Amino acid sequence: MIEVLDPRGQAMSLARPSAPTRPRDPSHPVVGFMDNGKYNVHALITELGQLLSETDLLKQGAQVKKPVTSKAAPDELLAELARECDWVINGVGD
Amino acid sequence: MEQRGVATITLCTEPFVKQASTIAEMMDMPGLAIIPVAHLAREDVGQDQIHQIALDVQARVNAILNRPERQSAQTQVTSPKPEILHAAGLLQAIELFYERGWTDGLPVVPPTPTQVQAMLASVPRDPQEVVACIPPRQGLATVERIAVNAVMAGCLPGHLPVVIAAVQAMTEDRFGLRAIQSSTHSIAPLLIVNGAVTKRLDINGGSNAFGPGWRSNATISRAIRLILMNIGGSIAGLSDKSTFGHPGKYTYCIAENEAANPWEPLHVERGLPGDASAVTLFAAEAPQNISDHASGTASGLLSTIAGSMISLGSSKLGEMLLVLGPEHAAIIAGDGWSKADVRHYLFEKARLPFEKLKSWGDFLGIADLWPHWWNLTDAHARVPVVRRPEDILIIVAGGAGTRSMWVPGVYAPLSRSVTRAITEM
Repeated sequence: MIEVLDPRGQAMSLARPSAPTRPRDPSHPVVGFMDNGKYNVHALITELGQLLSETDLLKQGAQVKKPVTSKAAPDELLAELARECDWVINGVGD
Repeated sequence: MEQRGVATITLCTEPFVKQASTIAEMMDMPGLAIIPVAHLAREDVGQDQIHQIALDVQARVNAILNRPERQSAQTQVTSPKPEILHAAGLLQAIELFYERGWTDGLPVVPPTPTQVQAMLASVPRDPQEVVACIPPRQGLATVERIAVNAVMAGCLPGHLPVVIAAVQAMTEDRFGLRAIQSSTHSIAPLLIVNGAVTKRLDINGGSNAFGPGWRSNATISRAIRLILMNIGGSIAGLSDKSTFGHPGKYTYCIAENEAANPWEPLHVERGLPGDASAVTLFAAEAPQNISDHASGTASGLLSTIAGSMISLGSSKLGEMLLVLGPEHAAIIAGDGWSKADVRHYLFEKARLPFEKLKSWGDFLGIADLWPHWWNLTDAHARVPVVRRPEDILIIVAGGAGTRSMWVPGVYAPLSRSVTRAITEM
């Protein structure tokens, strides 16, 4: 019998705040959009934003575009969305 | 956004839903809302199709908005010490690692505590020191965990400082490791080693520099791959969705052939002293051969090289690596050309006609990355393959023969090469 060590190790915890960053109105959540810059995504989320707004069940928030498709969005962009939105729809991953 | 307390809905095409959910689980976000959508990143997708996709997404978004709020994930704290497993013998341990999905497809050396201790003895560091955090799993690469993977790769204890320096280099933000770990692109971190360490560890920069046959080249880079998989959670087919993969994902490491280099080596260009040892990480496609058995002048040879670097489908506007064979380097330097001269020549000559580029679909997506000085309205313009001469990295490697290699990188500004000194030797 031999002993061997697990190669994976601990992962950094990504603890999230337990409360939203702004007061919520559950009946009319603010939905923002993050465009990852891929082809036709701007057209899709613009169309989707219009459709969702027509239902009168939510408010449309900011629509931002990532500067670099495959990299994480910069902090200031995330902060802008977090200040304003209850939900953020992002995409399109492919 | 989730870390900021904002719920998200992620849209992705069907083949990438599993990747998205796998990475979400790795990042303490089980149950992340993911909506599959039809593939739309094509110029022939019209407004009617986009409207239909938006209608489909709208119905799913409404359902998600109306469901009970998810609970925030709790902080996960696990033991920092490696878990110990038991196997009947070495062969059984090899099979156990296959079963757990902890290999690159080749058998690993079972990392026994004795071997890991021997590896750790080669560096004066606390084994629990966190060297880096590896995406997408956000795995903590402690010195000890790096050593476990280095043993598995077949490294000798003397290799560990090179592996640690490479881990530090590839986790610098400008290297863009998160995207490299999960992209459909066929890219792998290429390790270029410079300085005295190449002789001390017999890292090959001569004949067959890209392999096979040298233990140091093979195992140091294999350790990086195992670290990316096991600590970083880059699992082929799940979190790693490379369309084709890359032979260099098994191992991809060369030394610069400094004895045959008529110019200053790469690490000196990057500001390190000549007697330092260093490793440069470059996110690279596969190396591509350039044959020129006839040219006897710098301009003739570089004309061949420039012609080889022009191809429509490979990534543009990032860095490119030119690996000059010693015989080609001697011809160019013999004509009195410096590295800077080579870069400027290639920047001017390795260009694509705009008319061709316009037919390349990717051009539409990255048009805003082209240099500001380039006139997008000039149909006769010739467009460089990099944004500036400095983005052509030049090293000398390989053995006898009138050949060189060029190695495309990835889009700027996704990834920039990073050079790191190797200390603790």
